[in-house]
Amino acid sequence: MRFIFQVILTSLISYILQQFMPSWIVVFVAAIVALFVQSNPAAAFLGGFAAISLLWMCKATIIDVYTNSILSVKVAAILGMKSSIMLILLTGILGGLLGGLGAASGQHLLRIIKKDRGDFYRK
Amino acid sequence: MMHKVGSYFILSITLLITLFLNAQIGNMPPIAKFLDPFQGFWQNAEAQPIQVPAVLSVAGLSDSVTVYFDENLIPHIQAKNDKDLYFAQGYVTAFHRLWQMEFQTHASAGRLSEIVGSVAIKHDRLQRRKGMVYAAKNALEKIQQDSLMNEIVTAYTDGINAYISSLNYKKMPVEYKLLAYTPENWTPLKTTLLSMQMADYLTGYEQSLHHVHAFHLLGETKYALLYPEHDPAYEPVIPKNTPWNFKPANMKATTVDTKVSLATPVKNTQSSDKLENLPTHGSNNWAVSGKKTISGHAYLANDPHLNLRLPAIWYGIHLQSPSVNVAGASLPGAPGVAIGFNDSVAWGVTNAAWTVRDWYAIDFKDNTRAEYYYDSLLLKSQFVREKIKVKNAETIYDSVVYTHLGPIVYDDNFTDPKHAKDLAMRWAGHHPGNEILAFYLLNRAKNLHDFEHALQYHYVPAQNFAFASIENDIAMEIAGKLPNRWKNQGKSIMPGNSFMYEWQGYIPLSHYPKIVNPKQGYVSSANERATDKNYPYYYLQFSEENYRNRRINQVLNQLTKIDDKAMIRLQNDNFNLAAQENLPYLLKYLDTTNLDTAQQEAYKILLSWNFQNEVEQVAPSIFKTWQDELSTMLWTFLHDYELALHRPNFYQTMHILKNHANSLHLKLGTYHNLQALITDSFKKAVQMLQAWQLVHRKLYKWGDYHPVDIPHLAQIKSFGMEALRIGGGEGIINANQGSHGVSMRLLVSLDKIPRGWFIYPGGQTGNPGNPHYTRFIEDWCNGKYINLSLVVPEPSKRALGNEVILTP
Repeated sequence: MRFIFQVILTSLISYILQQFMPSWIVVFVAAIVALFVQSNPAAAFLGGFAAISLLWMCKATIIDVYTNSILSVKVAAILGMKSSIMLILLTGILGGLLGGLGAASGQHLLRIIKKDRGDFYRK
Repeated sequence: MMHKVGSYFILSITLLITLFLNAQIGNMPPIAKFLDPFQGFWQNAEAQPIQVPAVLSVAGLSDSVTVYFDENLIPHIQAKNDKDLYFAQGYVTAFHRLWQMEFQTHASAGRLSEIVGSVAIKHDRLQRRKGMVYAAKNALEKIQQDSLMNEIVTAYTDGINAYISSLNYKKMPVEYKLLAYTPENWTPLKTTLLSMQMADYLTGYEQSLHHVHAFHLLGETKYALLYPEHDPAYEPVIPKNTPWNFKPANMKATTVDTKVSLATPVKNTQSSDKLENLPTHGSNNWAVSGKKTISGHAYLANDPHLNLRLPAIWYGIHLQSPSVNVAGASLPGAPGVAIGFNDSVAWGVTNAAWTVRDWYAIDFKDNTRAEYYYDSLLLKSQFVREKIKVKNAETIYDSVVYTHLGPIVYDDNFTDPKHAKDLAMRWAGHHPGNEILAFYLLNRAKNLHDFEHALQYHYVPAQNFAFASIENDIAMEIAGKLPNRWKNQGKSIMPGNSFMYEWQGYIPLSHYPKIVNPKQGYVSSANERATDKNYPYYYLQFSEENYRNRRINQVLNQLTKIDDKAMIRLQNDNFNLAAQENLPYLLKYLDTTNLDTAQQEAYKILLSWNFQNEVEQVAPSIFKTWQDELSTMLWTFLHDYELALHRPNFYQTMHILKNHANSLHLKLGTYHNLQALITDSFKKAVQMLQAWQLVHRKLYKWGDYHPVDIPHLAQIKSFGMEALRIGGGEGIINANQGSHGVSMRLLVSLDKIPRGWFIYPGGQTGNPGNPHYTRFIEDWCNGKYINLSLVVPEPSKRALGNEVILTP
């Protein structure tokens, strides 16, 4: 449940912010969502990865179908790939990597902050 | 505590990878940024040819401007004043072609290394050494001295910059994303850099070195036989026996021997291609008087042949303001229409190919090259330091020596196997006229008088301007700054140590070759020689077509009731005149007794050929290969000389074979007689075709054997087109060869409201992600046209989303 909630929330907020912000924004979105929603870095990574890779692959696929692969086949050729499907996959993997690492970092950030706080109260 | 280290580690990894995926590493674009489907390259993919807002506010306009894109995306721009008109032209052209516009001017200025890295260093150094920026600055000065032109070029510049400032990464042309750079602001200098690029391209390839060698090695008689100034069958642009009713300007002829002996001759062995075929590029244009047409109105036709590129060289446009109503092909980066028509006249150009670039051997005092001898003086050279930025590498510096004649292009620091060192380049392009004004006036010309008035401002490159008007005047006139030469001046490299070898002046404008309303009812040009031998001035041409021009004249002579279709047929004509004139002769000499089956078959195919270079035929492939083999075999002996020479052209080759086969000047070499030469070259040609067939696994049909490519401007392979099947070929009106060919076909019927139509290999948008990027190519291959109209459809008939009103 938590996982699905993380995926939906991360991709929704990223979708909105990506309309006018550069790609690195997904790292922060994934981090903040994971920080509130998830409980451990591994789960956070998976959720963040799934969120952004799905978002990016969906968006890329919609564009590709809508435009009849007019540009993706050419770009795929430049990058040494055989088809636009491979390019969509690559897009998904890279987006996923950004999202996953962002989410995991969110959890780790939480740990850093929590520990500090604990130490403070223990004193 | 250990947990913390791990957490910090994960955080830094995330940061690093995020940076890595969003930064440019080596020649890869920043990959996450590039692949981001919301901002990256995916956003350049477009399903709709165009979708513009109904109203768009653009700072810099003084009044509202209507831009309607028709179904071919040709913009019809209607402005209330000229400043707004050219502002909007800049804005709209940038909207479709920004990347191309900037890339071309970077190429001209020798700044490609900044974008593509060290592969372009040699190109950039050559551009700097030729003084391209020096030339463009001189052109800009002329514009800035003319307040009207300054206003227009500034408005055009502002329009481009208004578009650039509206861009963000998401909307940036895909090439910027791929090569990871951003557009800089447009400047008027970029506009003149573009026109200098054209001028450089059209002022020729270098033959003076070959001439020096040929003079030196072959001697006068043999030289005259191989490279005559007039082909025996030449048909000049200005018909023979046209009287010249003027007294030529005086000039002191120099009788001094001008054959310099080069201090460091260019050895044959240094050159990769020591025996060169001269390029036979060119263009066609003609105008037909209403006397020869069904409608009674004149026609104008023009098809310039250039290196084919995507995005295309031309951009179709219709410009309308209270002072002008003109449509045609514009060059992205220059205001106005370059080739086209308005409500009264039409014009088109071919390269006049007059040599306006000479080379002088400079007599430097010593190795420092700081001073050189000049008559009784010792002149100081100027050193210009060129800074070339290189992507992903260190900046490079080059030092160019300028003499009063021009820059030293090749020297010990910059060598080329095809060029001699320490020569100064004297080029008319370094001192251009006010070409923008010439075209501004042409766009507004009402009649022949206005046309002639406009031409005086055009200096480089020298062009044959064809003209037709609704008043039924037709004309062909050369425009350009033309040096007044003494015989052979500039034909070979000249000594640079005396005033007497320099250009003493220019041919007066009123003495220029021209013809107005000739009896024959038409005028035409196709890069052939300009005049007959009676023209009182001596001039050199670096290109002298001898087939296309005669074919055009043959057809136009025969035609009497010309209509649209006849003009279209002629512009797409694939008739091989060289074959018609020479094949029967070659076949007659061919010894058919010892041919194998394949050779027999090829022989039969040639016997029944109708001389059309059509895509489905194999005969054109056989003939072309035979032509090339014959030339190669016959001119083998020119390889034996230790200096680089060029091959006589095919016309001259055949002329010599037919008339001087026994000449002492000709070594048939191992081919003891003509029949053996012709037969052996035929057999060799058939063998080559068979080998081709084996490799390509298909028959050598002309469309396959002679594929035409249109490479992308930055050589990005998948953004170009390859192996297009189109007829024609070298020396044929439909002149396509390799990646060179018919860059555009324009036809205008000079009706009361002139009707125009055109086609070019490309599309209006420069975006490889838009269906219109290659939209016209199929029609171009098939000889079809699209409308180019001076009439804008009623607002109610305009397609939705195709019209935008630009407001201040």
